[in-house]
Formats: sequence, structure tokens, C-alpha cells
Amino acid sequence: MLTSQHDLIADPETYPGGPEPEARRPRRLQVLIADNDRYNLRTASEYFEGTEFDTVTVSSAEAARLVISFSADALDAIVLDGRLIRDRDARDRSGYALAEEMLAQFGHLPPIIIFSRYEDRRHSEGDRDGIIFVSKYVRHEIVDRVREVIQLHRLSRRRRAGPSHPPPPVIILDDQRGAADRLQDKLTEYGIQALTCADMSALAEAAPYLPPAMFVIDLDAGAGAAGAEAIRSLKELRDASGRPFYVAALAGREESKRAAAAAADVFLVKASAEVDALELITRLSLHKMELERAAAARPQTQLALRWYEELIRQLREVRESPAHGLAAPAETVRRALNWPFLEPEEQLVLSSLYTQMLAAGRGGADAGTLDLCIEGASMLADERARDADVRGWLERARRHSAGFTLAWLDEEFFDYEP
Amino acid sequence: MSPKRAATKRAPSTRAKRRKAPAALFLETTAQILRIAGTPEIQRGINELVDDSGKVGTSWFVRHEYEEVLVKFYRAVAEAARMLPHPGQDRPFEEMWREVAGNLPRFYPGGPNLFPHLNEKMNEMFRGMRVTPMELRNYLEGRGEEARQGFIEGELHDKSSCGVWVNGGSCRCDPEPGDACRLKETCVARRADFLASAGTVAAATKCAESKWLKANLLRLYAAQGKALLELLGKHPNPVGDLVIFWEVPDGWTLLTRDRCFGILRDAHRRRLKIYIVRLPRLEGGGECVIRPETNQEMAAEATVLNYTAKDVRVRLRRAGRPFELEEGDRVILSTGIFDGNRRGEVLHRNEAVFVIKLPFDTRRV
Repeated sequence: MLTSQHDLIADPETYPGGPEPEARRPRRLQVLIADNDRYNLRTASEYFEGTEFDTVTVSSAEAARLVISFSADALDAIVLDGRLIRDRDARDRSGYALAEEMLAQFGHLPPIIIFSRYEDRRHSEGDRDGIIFVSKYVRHEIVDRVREVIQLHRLSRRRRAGPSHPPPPVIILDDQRGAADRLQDKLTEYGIQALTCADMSALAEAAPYLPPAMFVIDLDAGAGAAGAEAIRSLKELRDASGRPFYVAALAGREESKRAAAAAADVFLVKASAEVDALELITRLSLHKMELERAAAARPQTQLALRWYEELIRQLREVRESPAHGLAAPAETVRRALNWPFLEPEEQLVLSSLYTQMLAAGRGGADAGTLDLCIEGASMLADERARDADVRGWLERARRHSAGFTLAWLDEEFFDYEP
Repeated sequence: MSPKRAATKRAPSTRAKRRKAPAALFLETTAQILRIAGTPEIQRGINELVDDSGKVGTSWFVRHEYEEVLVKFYRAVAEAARMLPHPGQDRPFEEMWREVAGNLPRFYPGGPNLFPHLNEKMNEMFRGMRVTPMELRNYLEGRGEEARQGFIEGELHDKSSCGVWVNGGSCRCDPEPGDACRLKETCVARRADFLASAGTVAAATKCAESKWLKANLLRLYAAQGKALLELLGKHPNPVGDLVIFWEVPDGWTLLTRDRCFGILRDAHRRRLKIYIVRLPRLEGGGECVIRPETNQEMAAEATVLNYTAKDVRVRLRRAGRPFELEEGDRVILSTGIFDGNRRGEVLHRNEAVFVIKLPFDTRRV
């Protein structure tokens, strides 16, 4: 169960392990703005940020393509400059081309607005669905127009599932088109969503807005230094944001030293597209398992804390009225021992409590022992004993009652009989 | 399931005089292991010494051995439990535990020597219960974590750390042990002492390591420097006591169950004080009657001087001694300490004082 892509994509706190749902901010509208002119990009962003919008800003078509491909579900609108490559080139209709490409690929997307000084006559003549033109000469109207089209879009009742890539996708950074395309084709054959990217700066721009992905960085000639830099940047981003990227370096054996220096999560020696794809898929499976495990941590913690509080209550009840017996707390401890993904400290405390409860049996436990059990349960209820002095507790518990320990080894075991 | 409790009628008894806690207590591997997994009385005795000593310490090799034996043993058994199918499905414990035993590899840390003891205890605790594989796995991993965290480090003395212990006997230093190698302090700087102690154990009859050392003494003598370290690294089990013996600092008291250290002490470090891990002795116990198993018509009266769960020390009354007792004689002991009579064996005698070993587990006396 991975985080819904409807979460705020720029907010790392909503990824597995983040804070409780109640702690999230109320959702603001999200708009992607792509403009190769940094000044225009900043200005447009400021228009939106001053209202009910959050913005995702990128400065290239490639970066915009990545964000739309993997995070369109989390966007409410897409604002593209008409000329994303060369502003003074009348032949540059890259913004339009990107919009048409994305619509053709995914069928249904949030409303796309071309925000430009130059209207493409072919677009206006063709009047494509889902692409609206807003002139930069009336830039102050952009926010109102975007708000308007979002409303219309919601009312259209034609909303189908947007692009949905069961995470994690694979993004291949390689400046050698042929090799990257072959690898992409092989991955696709195996049912993996894979995209290629030749531009490191576009990748760096888009990466904060992408779901947990596997990035495959080709370190071979032509891409070596840039590839190593890409690995370093992605790892920095991962550390800073907490996003669980997986970074694989792909290169010939002669690049092994550079790969080791880059310290990717895995270094794969290139063989063939087919073999490389299979190796990457194997690594991807491990990455997915780790994501799943991280995703399970939050609900399990919620479950655990509720039951540990109940355990405290049950033990206090026994402390006040020994006639209750330890059957109920023992059952609660057993329930906890049946959960997967227990932390080592949890396992230690639970197994010690259980051993004590079995030892006490029908005879019950004295007040001191019960106090220690309550203390152990309290440690569990405090973030699953993660930061508790479990060792100190166990030393005190063992000295008070041997029932906390599993005493199974006779000292004569060490006596040698010739 | 409740543990067995022996309901006893006994004469009032008091704890025997406790051993004086030393200023500095060195915990050897057997002491560390028994502190975690030993019987309650043994654990209590060790903890009393730990708590009352001026300072406590151990050595790098003790820590290495402890992890290699106890921690990895638990890990191996937990891994065998992890292999059980259907982790959430409860089943009779006995059936599941048999599968766990079957899942264990042929060779694993602690090995088949330790498993029967754990087996007995686990059956005692869980017999007749239905448990899930997940529950069993978490329980065993919890006990393993207890073992890991329960190691007492205190002052860590290191004259043994070396890559040979973790690289299967291979030393990466070239041509001779480098600065990071501490084992060379024992086997290079004190080579003569080390080899002499190897010879002592080789000649002994009461050490488990004697056989291997005897067979390989010449190889040890012939190996020098890095070669000696690599030879030791390939055979850590028979040389562990020797390494630890030379790691114990002067002035420290060694706590161990391994009586081989006494043999080493007598030959090489007479001033080293050793405490043997043993059951605490209870004083008193009143009168008792001893009868030979072969002729129970005869009886000798005696006084219980002190006792543990496993043996009784008695002094025969001078008058009216109808028979002689020798080591190895099987007797029947009647005393208020235990329920009913107990069969035992005379362990040793000193004039009128005998120690009678009791073969039955009467832990709760």
C-alpha cells in the first residue's frame, strides 16, 4: 500500500513514515508551471502562490514531461509556456507539442493551459480538447483563468483515472539514446513503467516531485562525470527530503571505480539490454518490498500503540485486584507477538513479559513484578520502545524476578568430562 | 504452564556466606552466557558479584566468542522458525518445534550441543499450547535481542582483536600484523608465554581443548608472526581459553565456569584469582540419615553442613557409624531439606565430611 498520488507531491511528510494524517495541512490546489525563462517562471509562481495555489516549477519540457507522467494525479492544472526551448524562435511550439503528446499518451489529464505571448495558429485552428491559451500580455488574469478551467474540468464528469504508474517507476538517465531506448523497451516488455531522460538538469528539477523511483544512471563515456554528479544530487535529495529513491549505476567494468566513488545503491556491470533489465527488475522488487515495509510501519504503529495502552490498563487492573489474573494481559502480549515487523526492542520486551506471565501462571505475580511489567508495557506504548532504556529495564527486571528470563542452560553444560 | 515447584519441608536455612566481591571482576565467556541463560540461582549469583564488585570488565575475545556462540545460536534457531510456512496460522507447538529442529542446518553456532537444552525448556513452557510461527519467531528473536543486549562490557580489554577471527583465518596484513592488530600482543609479543600455556593445556586431561592442542602443538611452535595468527584464526575453538587467559589484566578476578583456567593459572599466573561460577550454597539444614542403596537396613546419622540444589555436604556423626562410604557409592539421603528421600552418589570425601551429588533437578529447594 503505497502513498496515494493524490497527496501533496512536494511534501515529503506525506510519504511512508510521515506524520499522522491529522497533522497534514489542508490541501491547496496544485499547479505545474513550466517556463524556460526563469524570470517569467518566478513571476508566474508568485501570482499563484499568493492565492490558494501551491506551485511546482520546472524550466524544461523534459522536466515537465517527467512530472506530468508520474504525478499528474496530484495536479489540478498544468501551465506550460508555448516556447519551452527558444523564446525567439517562431518555430518553437514545444509547449504545445508537449501538451499534445501528454494528452495523446494518457487520454485524460488536468486542464492544460498554454501561457505564452505567442498563440499557435495550428492550435487555435484545431481547438484541441484540454488545451487552453492564456496570453502573457494579460498575465494578471492567469490565476482567474486557471481557477475557472479547474472548476469546469471538475464539472465535466469525464474524469477518468489519470496516468497511474504503480510505483516505483524506472527513470533512465543516459545521453546515448539508442542504449537508453533499448533498455526502456526491455523494461516495458516486463511490465515496468520506464522513461528515459537525457538531461540531468531536467531530472534534478523534476526529482522532488516524483514518486519513489528507481533512477538508473549510465556512467559510461560521455555521461560519466555528469552521471556521477546525478547520483550525488539524487542521494543528497534523498537525504534532505526523506524520499526513498533507489539509485542504480550502470556502466562497463572499467567504470567500476567511478561507480564505487559515486556510491550508488547498486552498481551493475553492463551486459545486454535484456540482462540489464532483468537485473534492474530484481533490484526493483527489493526496493518495492522495502517501500511496502515502510508503508506498513504507520498503520502497525497505530495498531500497536492502541494495544499497548490496553496492556497497561490490564496490568494496572491486575495490580489493583490480583484476582483478575494475568490471562488477559498474556493474551494481549501474544497478540502483539503475532504482528510482523516488530522492532528488536519490542521483541525483547514482549518476550520478557510473556516469559514472566507464563512463569507466574495461576499463582500470579507479586506487586514488584507487576510494576515492572507495567513499566515494560509503558515503554512499548511510548513509540514502541524505540528510544527506551530497554536494557536498563531488563537488568532490573531480571534481578527482581527470574521469571523474566528464559533460563535453559545448566552450568554443568560447560563442565568437561573426558 | 507453571514451572515445576518443589514443595519442601525443610529446616530453616540461611544463605551461606557470600563470596567476597573483588575490586575488579573479569567476566569470561561462560560467565557471560550463564548470566543470560543459566538457572535463576546461577544468574543471581553472577549478578550479585557484578553488582558488588568495584569494577567489571571483559575482553574483546570474550565478546567475540559470546556473539559467535549465544547470539548467533538464537539467530539460527529464529531463522529456522522464520522458515515455517503460514506465519499467521496457529498449530500445536510440539509439531511446529519439530519442524524448527528440522529446519536447522547441520552446522550452526552453538550447534547441536546447545539445542537439546533449549528444546527441553521450550517444551516445558509451550507444551500443549497452540502458537503461530510468527509468535514463535518473534519470541526467539526477542530472546536473541536479550542475549545481544545482555552482554556486560564494562572495561573492555583487548589483546586479541584481529581480522583472522572474521576472515576465516586469513590475515590481510602484509608482511606482518599491522598496527591495528591487537592479537599480536598475545601471540607475538608474548609468544613464549602463549606457547607455554598451549603446552600446559595440551598435557592436561580435564580440558576440552587438550586433544586438539596435543595434536597440533608442533604446528603452533613452528608458526611465527602472521602465520601463527592465521593458524589460530582457522581454529578459534581450541585456542579461545588461551587467548582469554592472557587478556585478563593483572589484579583482576576471573569469573568462569571453565575449570581449564585453574590449570592455566597454576602453571603460569599463580597470582591470578579465579572464581568458579557455581550454585550458591545454603547453610544449615539440620540432621539427615544416609543409607547405602544396596542395604537400606543400615543407616548412618549425619549433619547437613550446607547444600545447593544439586549436592549436599554432610558430616557423619562419629558414634555409631555402621558402614564406610567411599567415592562413587550410591546412597539414599533422608533429610528435611527435600521432599521425601533422594538418591545420590558420593562425590568425594574428606574424613567424616562427604559431598553427595543429587542427580535430580531440585531447583526450587
